[in-house]
Amino acid sequence: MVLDAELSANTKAILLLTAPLVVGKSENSVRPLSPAEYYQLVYWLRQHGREPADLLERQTGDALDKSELRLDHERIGQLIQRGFLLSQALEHWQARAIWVVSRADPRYPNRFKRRLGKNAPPVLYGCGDAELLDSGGLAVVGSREVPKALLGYSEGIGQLAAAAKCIIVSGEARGVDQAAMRRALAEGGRAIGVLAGGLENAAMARKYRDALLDRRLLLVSPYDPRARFNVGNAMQRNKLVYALSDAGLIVESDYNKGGTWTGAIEQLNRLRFVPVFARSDGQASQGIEALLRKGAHPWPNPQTPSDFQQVLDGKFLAWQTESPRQAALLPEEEDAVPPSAVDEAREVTIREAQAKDAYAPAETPSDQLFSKVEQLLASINTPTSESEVAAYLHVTKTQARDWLKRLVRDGKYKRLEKPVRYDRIL
Amino acid sequence: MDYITRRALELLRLGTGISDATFREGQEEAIRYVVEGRGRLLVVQKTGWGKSNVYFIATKLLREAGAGPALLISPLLSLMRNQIEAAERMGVRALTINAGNKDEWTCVEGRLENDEVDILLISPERLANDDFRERVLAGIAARIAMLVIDEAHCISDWGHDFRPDYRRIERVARTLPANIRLLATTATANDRVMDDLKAVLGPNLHVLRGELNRPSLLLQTILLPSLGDRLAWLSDQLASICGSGIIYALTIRDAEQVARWLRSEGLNAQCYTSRSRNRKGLEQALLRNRVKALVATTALGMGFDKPDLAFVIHYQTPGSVVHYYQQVGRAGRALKSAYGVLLSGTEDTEITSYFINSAFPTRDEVGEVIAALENEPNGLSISQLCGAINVSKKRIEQTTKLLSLESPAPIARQGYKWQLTAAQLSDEFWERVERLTALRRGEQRQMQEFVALKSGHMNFLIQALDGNPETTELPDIPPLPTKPQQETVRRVAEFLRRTRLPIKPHKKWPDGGLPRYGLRGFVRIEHWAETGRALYQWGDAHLSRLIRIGKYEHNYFADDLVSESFQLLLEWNPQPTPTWVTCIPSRRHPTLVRDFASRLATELGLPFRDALVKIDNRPQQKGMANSIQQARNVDGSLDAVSDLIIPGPVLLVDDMVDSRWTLTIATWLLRTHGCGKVFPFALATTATD
Repeated sequence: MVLDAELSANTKAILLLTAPLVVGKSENSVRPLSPAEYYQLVYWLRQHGREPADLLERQTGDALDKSELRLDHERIGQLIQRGFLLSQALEHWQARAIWVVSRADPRYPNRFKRRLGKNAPPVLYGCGDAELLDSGGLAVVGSREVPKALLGYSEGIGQLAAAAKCIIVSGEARGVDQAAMRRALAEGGRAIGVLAGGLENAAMARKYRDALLDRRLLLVSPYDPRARFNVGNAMQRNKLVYALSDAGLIVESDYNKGGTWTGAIEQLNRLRFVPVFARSDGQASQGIEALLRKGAHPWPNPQTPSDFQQVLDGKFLAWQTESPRQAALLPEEEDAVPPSAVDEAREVTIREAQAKDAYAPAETPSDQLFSKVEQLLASINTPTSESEVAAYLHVTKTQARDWLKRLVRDGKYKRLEKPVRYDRIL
Repeated sequence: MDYITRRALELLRLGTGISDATFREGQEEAIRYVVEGRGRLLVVQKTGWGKSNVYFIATKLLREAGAGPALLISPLLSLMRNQIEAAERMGVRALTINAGNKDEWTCVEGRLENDEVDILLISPERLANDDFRERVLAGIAARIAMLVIDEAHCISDWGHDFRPDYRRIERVARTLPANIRLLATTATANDRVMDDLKAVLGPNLHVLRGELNRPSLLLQTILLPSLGDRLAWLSDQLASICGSGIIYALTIRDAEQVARWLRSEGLNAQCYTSRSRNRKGLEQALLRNRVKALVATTALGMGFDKPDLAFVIHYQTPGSVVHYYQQVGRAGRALKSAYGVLLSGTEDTEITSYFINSAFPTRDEVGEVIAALENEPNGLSISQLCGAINVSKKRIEQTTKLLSLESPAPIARQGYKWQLTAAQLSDEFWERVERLTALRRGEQRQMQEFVALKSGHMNFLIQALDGNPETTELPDIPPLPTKPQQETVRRVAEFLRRTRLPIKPHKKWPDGGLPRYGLRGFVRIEHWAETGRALYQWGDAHLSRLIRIGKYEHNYFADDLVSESFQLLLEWNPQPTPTWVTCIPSRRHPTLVRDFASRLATELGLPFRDALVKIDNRPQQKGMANSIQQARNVDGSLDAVSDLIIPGPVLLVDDMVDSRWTLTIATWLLRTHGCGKVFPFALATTATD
C-alpha cells in the first residue's frame, strides 16, 4: 500500500491544514493547525454539514469568513492555498516509498481513533506494510542507555515475540527499542517502529530495507518525514506506541524522569490503553521497582511462544492480584465492569467510528463508559462512599474513586469530608 | 474570481501592440474559464494561435485579484523569449530560470522572494532538479495559484514525445488539489493522447480544440541518399528561396556540419543546438531576418514563433509525424506561401533507430546499477557508479534518472548519492518500455510512408493526427527541384576534406585518479598535449572506407591515407613544428599504426622513434563503457623509453581516438621523459568534447 491509490480530497485538505509539508530548507511562512485547532475547525464543518475537502471550494471559504469560529481565517486560506507545495511534498515522499494516511482514510488505524480520541494525529506517514497498524502486538519500551545485559534481555523478548508471531511495537530508539526490534526482524518476525522524527532517513536505511520489502516492518510517524527528532515529539510518540499494542513491557526506566517513565505513568494512571508490565528479573532498578509499586504488572517471564501469547491474551494476569488498578481493563476479569456497560459503550463507539469518525473523533470509549456510569449513579440519591459505589458498579475501589473524582471535577458531585462521601449536586 | 472582459481585451491590445486587436476564436473563452476557476482546461491549438495570450492574460487577471503567482512548465524555453516580451508589455512580470540563464538566477530568486514575479517559467528538467525544488521553488510553492503545463502531450506515454521528466508533472497534476488552477496546452494531440490526458488531468477536463490545416504550406519530400547530395541541394536552393527559415538536422554533429558548409558557400547560416552559447541572439537574428537560416536540432523547439518564416527544411527524416508536423508547421503562418521540404537520406533510419533503441536502459544496465547500490548501504554518486560498473556515464545518468521517476521508485537521491529505497522496480516499467519502443517503431514506419508520398502530404499529416482533413488547396508556388547541381556536389567533396575535427586531450585526471601512475587532480600545464587533429571528417565516405578496410581487413593503412594525412599536416602546420614522429604502441596489432606512422614520418622527412611501449596487456579500450573505466584500463599499461626520446616537439600518431586517455597519458610520459610539445594526430576520432 503506497500512494498508488489516489489521495482523497479530504486527505489532501487535512494535509494542507495540518502538515508542515517540508520540501526545502525554507521555513513555513504560515503555521499549520495544531490537532486541537484542526478538530475545532472540523467540528464547525460538521455542524454545517461539510467536510474538510469542501474548504477547497470557494463557498465554504466564504461561509468560514462569516463564521464565529475563533480561528484566523486568513491563515486557513493560506494553508489551503499550499496545493502545489503539497504535490511537491507527496512527490518527494512517494519517491522514497513513504505513504501518508489521514483520519479520513479507511486505512487509518482504528486503534488510534478509539484510544487517542482527540489526541489522535490527523495524519500519519509511513513506510512498509500499513496492514500492521491494526494488528496489535507487544510494546517494548525502555531507556536508551542500558547495560549490555538488558540489551540481551530485550533481544530475548524480540526473539520470543517472533516465535510467537507477535509484532514488536517500539519507538525505534537506540537501546532497548532497537534491540527488541532488531532481533524480532532477524528472527523473521514483524515489528512496528513509531518514530518521533527522521522517517525519511529510516525509510532509506539499508538495515531496514529487506524487512520493509518483506512486509514485516512498518515505520510510522505522525511527524513530517523530514522533521528532526525532538523531546516533545518523543513524549507524544509514547502514547502511539502503547495505542498500537495489546500490552506493554517496560524493560528499563529512569526514576521519576525521562520519556519511558512519563509514558508509563501516563498509561498506569490515566490512559490505560493496555495492561502494562515491567521487567521482573535481572538487576533491579529504582525506576522499575517504582513502576511495579505504581501498578505495573511484573512480567511473568514466559519461556515458550504459547506462554508468551497467553501473557498477551491476559491469561497470566488472573494469577496476579496485586495490581487491582489495571484489572478493570481486562475483559477476562468478569467482575471488573458490568459487561453490558462495556459492550454497549464499545458498540456505540464502533458504530460511531464508522459513521462520523472520519475526520474527527467521536467520544472516546472511556468518555462513553463514563457517561454510562454517571447515568447509573443517578439512581443513588444519598451521599455515598467510594466502597459503596465500587460495590454497586462491581468495579474496583480505585476505578470507582477515579470516576468520582472526575464527577467532582466536572462539578456534578461534591466531596464530603469525614468520612469521605460523594453527593450529587442537583 | 471574476473575469473582467474590458480589462482582458485591454491586456491583449497592450501585449500585441495592436490597438484594435481582438481575441482569436476560443481565446477569450479559455481565459474566462481559467480565471473563474471553473475547472481544469486543455487547449489544443496549433502553434501561433496565441496560447501564451491565454496564460499571460489569465495570470495578470488573477494577480490583479490578489492571487499568488503562476508556474509554467515548458520543455523548451527558447520559444518563450519573444512571448516574454509580449508579457512585459501587458505588465506581466514573467521570469525564467533555466540552464541558459545561470547568471540571472540570483536576481530571479530574489524577486521571487519579494513576490515580484507574476509567472515563473521553468523546464521539466528544472522541476526535476532537487536543488531547484528545495532551494527556490519551495519558497513560493505554498503560494502558487495556477499551474500551466505547456506541451502537455508530453505527459502521455502514448505520445510521440513522452519525456521521462513529464512523469513527475503527471503526478503533480494528479495530486494537485482542486483549488489550484490548472491549464494544459498543446499543439498536437491525437485521440489516444487525448484519452491519456483525460485520465491524468481528470474526467472533468474541459477541452478547447482547434484546426490542424496549414493552407499556406507547400509540402514536398525528396529522396537524396547521400549526405553530399543533400548538402549540395541545400546551398543550391537556399540561394533561390526568399526569406529566412529553419533547417532541421537529427544530430548536433550534422547541424554543425550543415551550418559550416552553408557558410563556406557564402550563405548566412548559423548552427542552433543545445550546445550553442548564444541561443537568444540566434533566435533574435532569425526573427529579424538577419540570418538566412538557423540549422537546428530539436533544441529550437516547439512554439518558436516567427509568423513570416519562409521555409522549414528537414535535412534528415524525423522520427514521427507529430515531430514533423510541429516543426514544419512553424513555416508560413502569416505568409501566403511557404516551403516545407523533407530531405531523406540513408542514415536517417539508422539515427532514429539509434534514438529508439537507446531511449531506455537495458535490463542489464538496470541490474548492474541496482547491484552496485546493493553493495553500498550509504549510496553512490554518479562518478562512483562509473568506477563501479562498466556502463557509460550517460547511460548511468539516464538509468538512475528513469528509475528515480518510477512510482514507487527503487532508488532515490539523498544529497549527491543514489540510494536504494524500500521499493522494487515493478514489471510495469518494462511493459512501458516495450510499449513505447513498439510505438516509436510504428511512428518511424509511418514517416517512411510519408517520405514516399508523391502528393497529398498535408492530408496525410492531418489524418495521422486524427484531425479533420479537408480538400486542401495548395499555395501558388512551384515545387523545388529534386536534384542538386553537379558543380555544387564537387564543392561539397572539397569542403569535407578541408574541415577536420580537433582532438582535445584531457586537462584533469579521472575521478579517483590513476593509482599505478600516482596521478590525480589536474594535469600539470607542462604535461598538457596540444590540440590535435583527426583526418576523417563525418560524411566522407571515401576516407571512412579506407580506414575501415585498413584496420579490420588488411591490417595495413593504404598509401592514400598517408598522403591525405600529409596534406592535412601541411594545412594544419602545427607550431612549433614537430621534429620527430612517434606513435601509440599496440600488442594486438603491433605493426598497424607503427608502420603507418613511420611511412608518414618518411613523407614528412622526420625521424620516427618507437618511444612508447606497452608493458601490460589490457582489454580493448572500446570495450570500456565510460571514461573512468577507460582511464583505469590504461593506468600503468604504457611506458616511455628514455633513450629513444628526442627533446624537440613531436607528432604523436594513433589510428582511432575515443576516450583520449591513452593520448593524455602518452603525452604525460613523453613530457616527463624530456620530450618537447606533443601534437596528437589520428586517422579518426569519436571524441566529441
